[in-house]
Amino acid sequence: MRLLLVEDDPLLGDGVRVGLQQSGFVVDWVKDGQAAKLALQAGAYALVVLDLGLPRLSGTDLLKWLRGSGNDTPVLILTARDTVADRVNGLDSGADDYLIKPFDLDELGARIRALLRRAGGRAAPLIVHGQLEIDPATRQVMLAGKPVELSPREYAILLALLEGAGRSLSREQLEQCLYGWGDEVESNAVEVHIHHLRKKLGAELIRTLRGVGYLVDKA
Amino acid sequence: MNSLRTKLLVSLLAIISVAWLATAGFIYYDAHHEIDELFDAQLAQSAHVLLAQAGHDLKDAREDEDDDGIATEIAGAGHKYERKIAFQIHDEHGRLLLRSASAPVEPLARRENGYAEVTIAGKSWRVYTLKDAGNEILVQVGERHEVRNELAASVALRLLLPLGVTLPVLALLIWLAVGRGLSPLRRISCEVEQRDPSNLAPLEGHGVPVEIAPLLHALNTLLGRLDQALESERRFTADAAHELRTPLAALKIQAQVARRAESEAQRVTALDNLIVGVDRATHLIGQLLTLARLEPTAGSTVMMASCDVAAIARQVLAGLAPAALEKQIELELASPAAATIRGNADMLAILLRNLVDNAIRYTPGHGRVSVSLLVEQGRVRLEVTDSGPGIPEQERQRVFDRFYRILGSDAAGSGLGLSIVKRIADVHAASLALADGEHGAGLRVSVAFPLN
Repeated sequence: MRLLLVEDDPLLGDGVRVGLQQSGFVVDWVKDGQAAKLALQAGAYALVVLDLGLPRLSGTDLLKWLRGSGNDTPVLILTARDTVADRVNGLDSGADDYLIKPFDLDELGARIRALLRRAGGRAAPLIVHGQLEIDPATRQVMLAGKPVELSPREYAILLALLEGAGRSLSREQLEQCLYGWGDEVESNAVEVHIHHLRKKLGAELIRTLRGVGYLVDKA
Repeated sequence: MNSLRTKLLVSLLAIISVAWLATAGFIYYDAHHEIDELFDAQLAQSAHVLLAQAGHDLKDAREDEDDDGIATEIAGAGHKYERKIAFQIHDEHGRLLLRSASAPVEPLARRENGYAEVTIAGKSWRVYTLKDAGNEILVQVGERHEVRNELAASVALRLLLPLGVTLPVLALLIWLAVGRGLSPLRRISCEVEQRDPSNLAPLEGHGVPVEIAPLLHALNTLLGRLDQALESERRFTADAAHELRTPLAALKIQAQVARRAESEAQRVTALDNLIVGVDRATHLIGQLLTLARLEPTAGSTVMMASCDVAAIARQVLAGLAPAALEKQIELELASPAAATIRGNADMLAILLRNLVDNAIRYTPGHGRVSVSLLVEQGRVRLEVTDSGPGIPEQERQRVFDRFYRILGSDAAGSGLGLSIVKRIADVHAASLALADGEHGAGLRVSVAFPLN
């Protein structure tokens, strides 16, 4: 899951980025509204974590621009302003959720997962596909009731394919889920991870569409 | 009740009544004067007619019969004014020959031709005396003054009567007219009353009379100032919340990252960040306390003494040199041996430290920060120039606001440094100005202290 973090404070931004990476998210971090706009124009993100007090382009204006351009990526706002009017204003300008500083890293993770779940059209916290069961909160994967050990990158690819079940994902799209900016991309990494996943979860789960990409059928 | 409407009504009615009464009074005296002339003429004419008519008859009668000395009395005809008009006819010896029933027995007046004012039995009379050519017969015609007064009074009263009738009608009309005139005031007060307390937009001034316009203008000015004050208060609380909570959020997140660290290196980095965060929070609290101490409190005065800004500058720069060295920033001081002003040495040191610290903080590595002191006519000018990003023209007013930080500035400032500088400059009656640095780049802060 690739997230965009928009935060101008260096210490807080660094902490949130590392914390979310620990929770298994791929995080791109930008420090002002203008850079966030460019990043959003360039790539698709599963979710945006947005500080409202931003340089150059304020968080509220960025949000308005995002919604105005028809983009419905879930947005979670981080802000120091805690009055009811501020919260109402934030949600009304297009945010999906709201966290007031200082906040808890676990709560941030939980809220992001809830937003992603809702955006994916699921109400239940568990992702179930046949005999496969995934808990995004703990990143626990169970196959026929038995736990399966997956590396963070294998997990990220599996999650992306399951979230988009019935839709094919290209190698580039899967790479996007794996690497943030500045991460070095290994050339055949996706193929290697798919190979491992098939070994651990069975060969039938992930289908290869030659020249197109990979696909997990709808359950 | 202090009602403008009632006051206007009462005073207008009073003015109208007084004017009307004055008119009636004037008419009374004017009518009285005319009546006097008319009645005097009539009195004289009656005397002449009596003398011509009765005088002759009486002489004849006296020749025919012996005079018994008893005056004949003419009975009255019964008019209501009859008793107020009287006449007497006397002979040359002063004997009364003939008198009207209303006339007394004694002579009405002295035996002199012309008009006289007399009082008979407590009543005042106007008497005209006329003698015939042979001085044999003397006619006196008198008239009670009362008659004239009554007539003049009745003319004047007739004028007062309509006042009594029209006064209530006038009162009603005035009441309505004043009410109508005051309706714009009612409209404005209604508008203010029905307002949402948060709505500080100017009041509608359309069609307001010139008398009320200044009030409306003053009200709108007040509303504007209130709006500005509230807005700056809102901005302050928003900025303060951001500046105070963000460092705490960073501390909490870094601590949680350290606890969940997947590797020793990650834990060490997070803990290092935590320490940086604590240092930043400490700096922020220090700045807050400095600002709080500088807040003017009632009854306290700042201790002012002669102090040498040049010496303070040398001391402050020595303290900040390590920080500049670390960023490889060239720090220089151009100053005379001494520059003495009247001020508070501790505050001046805080001012200098904040300015130079800011300059070092915001100037990228290998940059340049120069401090200069100039003794000019009547003042000492302190300039701190850096080669940092500068402050855009439109932001230069707001950077002195508490917690305001230039957007996009990466350096970990508190947002209070320039507020502190401003406060100290104010205490020293010094003028503070921001300008571009050398060659239009960077920032130059100049503080001009008056020498005395």
